[in-house]
Amino acid sequence: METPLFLRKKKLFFVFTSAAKPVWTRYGSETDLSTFIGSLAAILYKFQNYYTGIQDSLRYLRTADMYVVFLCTEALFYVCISKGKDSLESLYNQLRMLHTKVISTLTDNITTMLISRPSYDARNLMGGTHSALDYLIRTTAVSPSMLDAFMPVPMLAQHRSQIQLSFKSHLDDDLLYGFIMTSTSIIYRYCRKGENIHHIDTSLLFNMLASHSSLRSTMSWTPICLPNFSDKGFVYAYITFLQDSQVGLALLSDNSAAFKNLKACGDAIETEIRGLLPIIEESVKSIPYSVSICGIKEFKHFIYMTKAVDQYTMSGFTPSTRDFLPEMPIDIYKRTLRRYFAAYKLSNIPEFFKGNYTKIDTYKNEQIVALRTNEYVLFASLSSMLPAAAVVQLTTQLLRWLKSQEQDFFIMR
Amino acid sequence: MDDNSAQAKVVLLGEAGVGKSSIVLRFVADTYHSDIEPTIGASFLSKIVNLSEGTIKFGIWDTAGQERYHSLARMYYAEAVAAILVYDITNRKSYEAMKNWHKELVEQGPKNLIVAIAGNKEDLVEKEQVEMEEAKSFAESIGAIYKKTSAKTRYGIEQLFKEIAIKIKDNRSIVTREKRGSIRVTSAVSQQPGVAKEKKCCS
Ligand SMILES: Nc1nc2c(ncn2[C@@H]2O[C@H](COP(=O)(O)OP(=O)(O)OP(=O)(O)O)[C@@H](O)[C@H]2O)c(=O)[nH]1
Ligand SMILES: [Mg+2]
Repeated sequence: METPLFLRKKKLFFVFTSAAKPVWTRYGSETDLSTFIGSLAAILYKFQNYYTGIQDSLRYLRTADMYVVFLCTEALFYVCISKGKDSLESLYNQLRMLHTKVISTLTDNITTMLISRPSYDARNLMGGTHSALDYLIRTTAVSPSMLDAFMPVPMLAQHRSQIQLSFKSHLDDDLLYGFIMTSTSIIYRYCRKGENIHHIDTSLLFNMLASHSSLRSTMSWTPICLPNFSDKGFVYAYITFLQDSQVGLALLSDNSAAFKNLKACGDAIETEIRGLLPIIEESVKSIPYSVSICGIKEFKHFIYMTKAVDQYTMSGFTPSTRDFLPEMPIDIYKRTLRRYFAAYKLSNIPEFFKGNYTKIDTYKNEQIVALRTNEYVLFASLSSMLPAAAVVQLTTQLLRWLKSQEQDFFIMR
Repeated sequence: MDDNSAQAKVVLLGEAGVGKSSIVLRFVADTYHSDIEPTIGASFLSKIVNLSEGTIKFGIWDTAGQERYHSLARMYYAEAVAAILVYDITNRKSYEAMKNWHKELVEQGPKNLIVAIAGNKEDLVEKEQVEMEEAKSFAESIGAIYKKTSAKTRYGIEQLFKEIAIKIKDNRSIVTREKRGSIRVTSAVSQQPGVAKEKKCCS
C-alpha cells in the first residue's frame, strides 16, 4: 500500500471518537484519514481487551525513530506520531493541552454527547479552530510545560501596578478575569477577589487571542470555556484592542448578559492605560532578553518559575513566538529543554522529592542544573568545564538575583 | 448619556462562510478581504447613517456561523430591532439554514423584529444554486426585506441597510427629537413618550 503523503510529516496529531470518527487532524485529507484512524482505533481496542478490569489503556508504542503516543479520555482519543526527539512527557503534555483546547471550544458537554452518540460527526463542531490548534501545537512543543506556569513579559513593577490600579478603580461586579495581552505576550492578569485563575485557563485565553486575527479588527463578545473555572459551560470574553495598537484588553464574565457592563468597564480602563501604551509596547519588545542580564557570565540559559504566582520567565527564547537570540538558537534551545525535562523527571517521584531537589547533569557541551523546592523551580545551563562546587555556588548567586527581580519578571498580586 | 438607547441593534445570522462579516465590513468600513477569518463568537460594530428623515446609529452584532455557536445566538438577537439573515446564493444548504434561522426567530426572537434577507455573493451569479424568485417569494411570505448583495462588489449593501433604517423609522418606532437635535429611536413596545424612562427592576 502506498504511504499517504501526510504520514511523511514529522509530527502528526489525530483526534477521534470511540467510533473512530475523526474530529481533528493536523495534516491530511479526510479520505486519506478514515482508514488510518480506523487502524489507530483498532490498535487501541485490541489492547483494551488485555486490560479489562484495569483502569488503563495503551499509552505508547515506539520504534527506533518514532513514538506513537495515545491519550484516551472518556469519549475522545488523542494520538501523536512523532519522529522528532521530543520526550514522552512533552508529547503527553501536548496531547493533554489539545484535549483541554477541545473542551475549551466545546465544553465538556461534548463528552456526554459522544458517550451517548459515539458516531456523531463532531468535525463540524471544531470548524474554524484549525489555526488555533496548530498554534497550540507549535507553542507547546517549545514550552517548559512541566512547570505548570505561564510566562508574562517583564515590566517594571511600578508600571505594572499602574495597570493594576486602573483595573482596581473600575471594577464591575460582572468582571471575573481581566487581561492585557498582545498576540505574543501576556502583560497583566486580573482575578476577582475570592476566585482563582489557573495558568491553563490563562494560556487558553491567550491562545484564542493570539491565533484568531479576526478578534483584532473590532470588539467581540465571545464564549470560551475555561475548564479550570468550569468545564460545564462558557464564560464570556469582551475583547477589544487599544486604538491603533497591538495591545488587547480582555474582560471575562460568568454572566452572558454582561457585555454592556464590561464594555463600559473596558472603556474606562482603556482611557486610563492609554498613556502606558509606549511602556507596554517597549516591554513586549524586550523579550527574548539575553541571559547576560543576570550578570553572571557562566550561564548560557535559565528558566525560573515561582509557584506563588504560577509564572515563569526565561532568557534567550520566547515560546509563544519561537523568537530567539543568537545565544540560544532554536535547535540548541530544544535540546536544552529536553535536558531540563530529563533532569526534572525524578523530582516527580516522591522518594526523590522531599521539598528540596537538586540535580546536576553533565553533558559534553553543557551542564544542566535543576532545582526544585515547594516555592520555585530553577533550570539553568552552564559551561561543561566548571567544577561541581562552582556550579553550586553560581546557581545560588543566580537564584538570589532572580528572587530580587521577581517583582519585575512577574505579575504580582 | 446612555447612547445605547439611541442605537438600533441589528444582528446578522447565517451559516458559516456566507459573508456576514464581509457585508458588515463593507458597510462599516468599505473594505473587503478575500482572506477574512471566521468570526469567533460575535463582533460588535457601529455605524451612523444619515437619512433624509434623520440619523440612525446602527449597533451591529456580526455573529459567528460555526455550528457550535448556534445555541448562543439568542444572546445576540434578544435585544435586536432588526435581523439580517444571510445566505450564499451559490450554496443551497445555506439557504435552508437561513430559513431555519427565521423559524427560530419566530419562535424565540424578540417581538416586532424587522427581518431582512440577504442573498450574498451576487458576483458569483453564474454559480447560483438558489434562484432569486424563490428567495424573493419566501421573503414576501414572511414580510421580510429582500436584497441580493455582494460584499465583494458593494452591490446592494448600502441599500440593504438603508431599507432597514427606513423600516425601523417607519414601522415600529417612536422618534423623539431630543434637545441636542439628534434623533432618538426607541422601541414602541418598551417605551412610551412621556412615561418615566426607568423601568424598575425587582430583585
Ligand atoms: N465572491 C464573493 N465572496 C464573498 C462575498 N462575501 C464574502 N465572501 C467570501 O466568503 C468567505 C467567507 O466570508 P465571511 O465574511 O468570513 O463569512 P461569515 O459569514 O462572516 O463567516 P463566519 O464568521 O464563519 O460565520 C470569505 O472568503 C469572503 O471573502 C461576496 O460577496 N462575494
Ligand atoms: Mg464572520
